[in-house]
Amino acid sequence: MLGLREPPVPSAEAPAPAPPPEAVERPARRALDSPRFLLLVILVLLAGLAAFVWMARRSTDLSPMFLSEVVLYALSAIDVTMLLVLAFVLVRNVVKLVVERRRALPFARFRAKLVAALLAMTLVPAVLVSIIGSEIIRTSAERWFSAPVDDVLAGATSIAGDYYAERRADIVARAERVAQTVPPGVLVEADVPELRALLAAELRTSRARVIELYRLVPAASGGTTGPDAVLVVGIATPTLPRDPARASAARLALEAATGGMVETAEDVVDGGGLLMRASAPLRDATGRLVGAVVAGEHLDAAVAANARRITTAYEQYNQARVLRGPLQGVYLSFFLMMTLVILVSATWLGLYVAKRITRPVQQLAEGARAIGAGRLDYRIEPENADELGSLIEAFNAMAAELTSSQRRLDRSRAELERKHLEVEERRRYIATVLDRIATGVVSMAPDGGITTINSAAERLLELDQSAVGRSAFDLFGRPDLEPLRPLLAATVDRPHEPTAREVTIGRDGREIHLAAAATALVGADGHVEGRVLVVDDVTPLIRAQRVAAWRDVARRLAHEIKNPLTPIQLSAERLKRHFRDAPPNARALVDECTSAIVTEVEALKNLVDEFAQFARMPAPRTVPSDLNALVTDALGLYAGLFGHIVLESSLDTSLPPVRVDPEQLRRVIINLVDNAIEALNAAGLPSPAVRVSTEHAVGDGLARIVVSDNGPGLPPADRDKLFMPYYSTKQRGSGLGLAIVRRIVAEHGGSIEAGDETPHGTRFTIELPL
Amino acid sequence: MKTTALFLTLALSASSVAFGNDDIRVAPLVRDGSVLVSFSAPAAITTELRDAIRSGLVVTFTYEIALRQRAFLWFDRTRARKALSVSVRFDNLTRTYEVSRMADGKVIWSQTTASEADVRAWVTSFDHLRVTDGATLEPNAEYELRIRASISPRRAWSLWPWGRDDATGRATFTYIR
Repeated sequence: MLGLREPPVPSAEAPAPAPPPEAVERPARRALDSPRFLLLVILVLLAGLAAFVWMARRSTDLSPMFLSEVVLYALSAIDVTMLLVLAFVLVRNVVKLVVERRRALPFARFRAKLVAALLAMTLVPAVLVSIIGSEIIRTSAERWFSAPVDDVLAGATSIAGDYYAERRADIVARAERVAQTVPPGVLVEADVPELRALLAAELRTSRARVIELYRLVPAASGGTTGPDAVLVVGIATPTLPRDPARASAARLALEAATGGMVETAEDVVDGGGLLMRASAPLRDATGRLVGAVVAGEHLDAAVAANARRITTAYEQYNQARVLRGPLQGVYLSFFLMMTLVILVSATWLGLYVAKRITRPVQQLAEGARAIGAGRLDYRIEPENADELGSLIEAFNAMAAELTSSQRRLDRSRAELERKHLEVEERRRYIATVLDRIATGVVSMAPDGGITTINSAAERLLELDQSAVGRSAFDLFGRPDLEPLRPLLAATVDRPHEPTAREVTIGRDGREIHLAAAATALVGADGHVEGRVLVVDDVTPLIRAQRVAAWRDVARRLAHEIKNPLTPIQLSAERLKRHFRDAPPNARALVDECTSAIVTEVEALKNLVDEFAQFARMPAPRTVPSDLNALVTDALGLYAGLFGHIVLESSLDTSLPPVRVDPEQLRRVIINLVDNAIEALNAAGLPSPAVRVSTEHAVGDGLARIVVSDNGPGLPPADRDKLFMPYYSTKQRGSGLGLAIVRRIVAEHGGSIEAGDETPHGTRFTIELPL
Repeated sequence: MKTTALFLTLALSASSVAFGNDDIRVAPLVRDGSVLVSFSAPAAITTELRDAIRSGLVVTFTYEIALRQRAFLWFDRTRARKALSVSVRFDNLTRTYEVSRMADGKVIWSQTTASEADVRAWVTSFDHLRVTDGATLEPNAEYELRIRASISPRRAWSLWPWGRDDATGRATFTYIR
């Protein structure tokens, strides 16, 4: 019904363009709402009403038979039809109103009340009028048939009938008397003059106006023709009007002549009078029927007409009484029909008025809902130019303005979304970068709450995402992170000066060297918008720097120490030869001293050689190698040498070949195993064992070699110093073994860590990239 | 209340019945293959109807004769149908009755009499009316002759305009040829 077009609801990704206003459909006006149709209906009703009024006026002219059979049938049919129509209209609209109320449609209750009010306003008076009218009809019908009228009409009719019967009896008696007067055989001899004289005498002495004699002609043999009555003689008074029904007299004579009974008949003559005839049979001497006498008496036109009028009036009166029920039904049906017309009209009018009132408001409510649902192109077709029409026009103008505003908003939103996407893309890019870089970044809000932590920061500072939202000052109050707190404090105290320093934090007994920088993000207005803490793990760098320094030291030591060793050794040997001839005591002392000097010089040479080797260690020449085979070969060197120490291996057969320098890596394994055996020997614990295992860390892309023992283990404080050159826990040793091991592993791109073995012992883990 | 009751009675009651159902005595007869029927409705002319006739109204008795064959699971099949009507009019001046019979729309008999007994016999009793020649009937089959009578004009009013039978009569017989 409404002029609306429903486009898809615009989405955030692609706002739908609003349709042009001219695209809004116009609703088809219902035929029932057409003024022409309404006018036609009213005209038809008025015409029907006029016809019924005319018929009611003419009802007295119509015969009761016609009224009771035709008019009553038509009225009853109309009443039943209108009852059905009324029931249909009521039931349909009651169901419709109930459904509308259940669906909580707007104004359903108002429409129901309006229709009920109009129906009640018309139902009560219409029913009252019908009841009163019915009562009037009933009482009027009772008065139609009052006893005086009944008596008068019955009496008059009785008089007329008696007069008629008397006259008929008189003429019958006349005909019988003439039949007895006529001598037998006269008809046979056909003595017409004699018969005419006889009839004339009879005519003069009676009230008969005509007397005729008929002779019976028997039927022809064979049955070809029937009997017939032939007029022999007839005489009539001159005042008798012309009789147009002569054949009736012959037929009457034939009936009497053949039946032997008196017959009577009445025929209308010219002038309106009535000719009453009676026919008596004639018999011969033997009693055989030979003819008939027909006597006729003229009933004056006025008398006959009056008698018939009286009779007709009586009959009509009686007919009306007999048909009193149907006649009452005619008027009751008419009243009922008018009542139904009023009720149907009132019902329809109530519905029509309610709809005319509520439909624009319903349209507005529907339109408001549509607008609220985002269908801003919703328009209502105004049907009237009244105030409601103006309201609808205002609604449409508002909807058009909303559509225009919505378009502008859509454009702004699209622009914002585009910028948001760009920012989001940039943010994701930065987040990705921050997530991938090795530098830890922690961002904070102006109040110190942590907003982001990248993965490197999580790893370096041992934090997780649950720290987001917590206060950085509280978080960095943790003992291991305490060295970072002054940096943050510096950003508070001096927000315009970035602070950077190198801090060392402990982690599982190891030291991690971090290059940390904290910066306050100062906005254009000078306010602090946040803080950023950047930490970088510089531990490998520092280690490399230390190793490089030690290598330089080693090279210098080797150079500076090795050069005087040979002269020392030569001098000692010379001194020994010089005192070869000295007294025994002196020679023994010299021999002992020179031997000590030579031995220590040799030891110093070996030490210097190791230093030189540490300083001049060649770059590894890597080839794909089987780590399991290397481990097996290395452990094979110890077979049978340390019977009290168990050497066992656990090798991962899925370990692929690894590019390593086999000689250097074998040296690494031997060095670690030597250290383990030496530690076990020194500790003297029961069931000493050394275990070497390999492992393929598929997820990390690493090959892992673990050398562990069940010795006393390492103090946590020494773990980080183990790999430092010239650091040794042993009485003898250069302290370069683990430094060389770390260097070899590092030059293979791997790492080595020292840790505790469960339940006790030391565990060295080497990880090599695949 | 009385008026309303009268209105409702007049509106909703059926037409007054001149004589009741099954008041028509039906006697079928098979002769030379043809089916004849004799029937009478002795209670047809009630006092009320006699008054209607004496009022000069043309009172018409319409008899519809239907020869039907019973069907067990379906509507009975009508094998023959015949309509017969008798009209009677009383002349209050001459005090005579004019009676005429019509069969299938044609006047087949007419008579004038002053005897009310003759009229009663002529309009309520019929002898040996031929219903069908039996050509379409099945031998040894069971048939029913049903006669429905209606009298016009109506002497009462009902809101339901479509009338119903004033009386019916039926008789079954076995058609033996």
